[in-house]
Amino acid sequence: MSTAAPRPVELRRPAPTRRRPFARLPVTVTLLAPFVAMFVVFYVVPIVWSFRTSLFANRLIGGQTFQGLDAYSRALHDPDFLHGFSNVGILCLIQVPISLGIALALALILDRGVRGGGVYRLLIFVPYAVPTVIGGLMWGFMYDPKIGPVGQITEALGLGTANLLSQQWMLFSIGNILTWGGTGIAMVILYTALKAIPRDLEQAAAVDGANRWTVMRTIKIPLLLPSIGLVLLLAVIATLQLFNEPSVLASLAPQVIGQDYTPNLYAYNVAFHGSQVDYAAALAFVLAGIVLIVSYGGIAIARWRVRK
Amino acid sequence: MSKLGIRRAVAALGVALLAVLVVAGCGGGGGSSSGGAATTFNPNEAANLTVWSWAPQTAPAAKAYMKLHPNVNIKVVNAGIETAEYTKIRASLEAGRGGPDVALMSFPNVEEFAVTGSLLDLSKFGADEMKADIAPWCIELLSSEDGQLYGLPTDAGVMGFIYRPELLAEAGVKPPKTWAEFETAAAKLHAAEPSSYLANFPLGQFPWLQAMMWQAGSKPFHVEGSKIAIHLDDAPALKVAEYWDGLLEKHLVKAEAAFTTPYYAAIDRGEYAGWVAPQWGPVLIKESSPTYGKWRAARLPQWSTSEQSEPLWSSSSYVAFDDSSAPAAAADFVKFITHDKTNVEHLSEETPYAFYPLKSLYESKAWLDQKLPFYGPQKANAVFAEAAKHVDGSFASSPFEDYVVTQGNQLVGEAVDGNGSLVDAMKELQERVVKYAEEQGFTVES
Repeated sequence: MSTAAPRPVELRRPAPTRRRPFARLPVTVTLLAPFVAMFVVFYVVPIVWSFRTSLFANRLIGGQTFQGLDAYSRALHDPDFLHGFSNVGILCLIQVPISLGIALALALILDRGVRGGGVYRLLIFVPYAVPTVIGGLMWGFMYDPKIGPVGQITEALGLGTANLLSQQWMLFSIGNILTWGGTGIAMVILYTALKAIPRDLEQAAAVDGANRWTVMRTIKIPLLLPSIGLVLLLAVIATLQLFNEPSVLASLAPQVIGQDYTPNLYAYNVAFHGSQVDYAAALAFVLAGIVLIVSYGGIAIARWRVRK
Repeated sequence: MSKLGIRRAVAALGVALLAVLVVAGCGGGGGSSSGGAATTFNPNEAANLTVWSWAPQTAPAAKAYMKLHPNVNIKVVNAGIETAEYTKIRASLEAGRGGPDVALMSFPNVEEFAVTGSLLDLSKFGADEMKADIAPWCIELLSSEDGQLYGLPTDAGVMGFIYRPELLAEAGVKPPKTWAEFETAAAKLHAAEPSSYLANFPLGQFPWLQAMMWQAGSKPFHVEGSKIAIHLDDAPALKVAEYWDGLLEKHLVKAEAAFTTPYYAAIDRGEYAGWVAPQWGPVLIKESSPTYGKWRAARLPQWSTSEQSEPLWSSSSYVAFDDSSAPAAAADFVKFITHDKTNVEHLSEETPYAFYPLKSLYESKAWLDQKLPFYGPQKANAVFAEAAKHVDGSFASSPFEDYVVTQGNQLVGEAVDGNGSLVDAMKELQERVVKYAEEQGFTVES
């Protein structure tokens, strides 16, 4: 018997089917239809309608008149609107990196393997599950110098009664609430991405003599960069649109949180207290435009750096 | 899906969007007015009314009305408190449908809907017969210049100075009769007890400051058709602003967000020996408060010893809408809920600590002697009845009170937080409101 090398198994290619390009169209359409219908009705139509609203000024005297893009040029020159951006901008530049840094550190620690890691992951995630309004109210009461523990603790430590709802501290206080609520979800995303890194990479590095920190620096974090980028993008988008926390704290500290504390809050007040729905629509579009520019800008920069 | 399929789908979407834009561009729908319908209520005609109200007393009143008039069916809906409800009303008026026949509305907000012609003139529906029995300043506040009555009042926010007598006595202070005395009393109290204040300066409650300016004689608005005169920074207003600037600077009153948990906690702890309060204020203090029963009511401090003037803070009325399908029934229900003696008496028993502007009620011995546990043994209603005699009914509101109040809150808040004075805030507010009025198409007169 000849001991020839075994013949490679021929993978039988399936016989090419006749080209029927729309054969599966009915099935596709039926499965997609519910989503597309809801998407169009609740997403696309309101956006188009809002744009249409922003083109027509609605006045108490004179009714509805076409104003074209006037509302947009007004929005771009509105100092109250731009003031809101300075607040969310500070949060984006300071709070977001801190929150992500904490999330990354926690994800790396938990990935190393901690006894009872599941419990910790759950506890870190729970604040994200608390509705933002309730979280905001809760923290608001804790911050209040008269009835909250923070003031009492600083008093006991001899630092005077800290008022975390005052002008100097408000951004920090809001940032604290955002970190408390948002770190959990970021950590879960990063942890999941870490778990997807093949173990043999680590082992190979260990064989090559790398210690834990080197592994983290050269393997884990570089492979995590897409996930970090994703989480960063989501956090920036959410922070630029900040509304819930300032809105809830406004009742406790109305002298600090004015109607223009964040761009979204300003648009809301213009619409519902100023009855200028057309201007509010324009503000919303400008805000969306800025968010788009920032997020696409971020993605473009990331792609450019990866390509380098 | 193949490239061709995707292109087709996008094209279809584009056509759909274009269609929406075109249809939208053909102008919004106009509401059909029921002008010319009967103005006498015919109880034999069936009618369906929708009433929007956030007050819990509306539903029982509607039930009572339906018993008396079985052909009328009333649905009471809570469409949100104040601004939330007004936003929905504005949206329904623009859409031409979906709005109520009757709605509960604060006095200052009635002007907005009166100016746009959305409200029924109740004097055409027999409300004139009731004018004699209603506090005259309510009629004045709810009427237009040419005598059209746009709403009937259900409760009025008469104000007073509520105080803790034992806290004042400890500091050797008597309840002040004038604002000058108020300042001296506040200083004396604060010196004797540094953690105590004669009153708070409520933040986030611009209508309170508006009431203070009202009392001093400020006349910020005067509307005539599409012409409006705006004087938010007139002399009385600036006098009041300067006065409170002084009190805040010397820390004689505490600026604090009103009607919040920390504020009630402060009241419980005795940090506030007094309250420049509306008659409905005690409703918000829990009966479990250790201060319950220890308060007494006095008249609001006055600016002069010879003349007396009183403002209002948060008064409500019922209005009927012009596009109602049954205007006569709507007007009749408004008349009932605000004027029917049994109903109003029932209201005043269920919800004391309120001023119901019906002469037959507030001049009655029964109401004047009403037991009010918050005030201990004092028959406080008498104090407010006396105040009601001096309410200045010539204070007009703007057709955009929501905007004025929001801007006012913002500017007052900034001023109190150390960025300027209340005087500057009022001047800035004047500028902003003038600009807004012009944007809304009004001709602003000086």
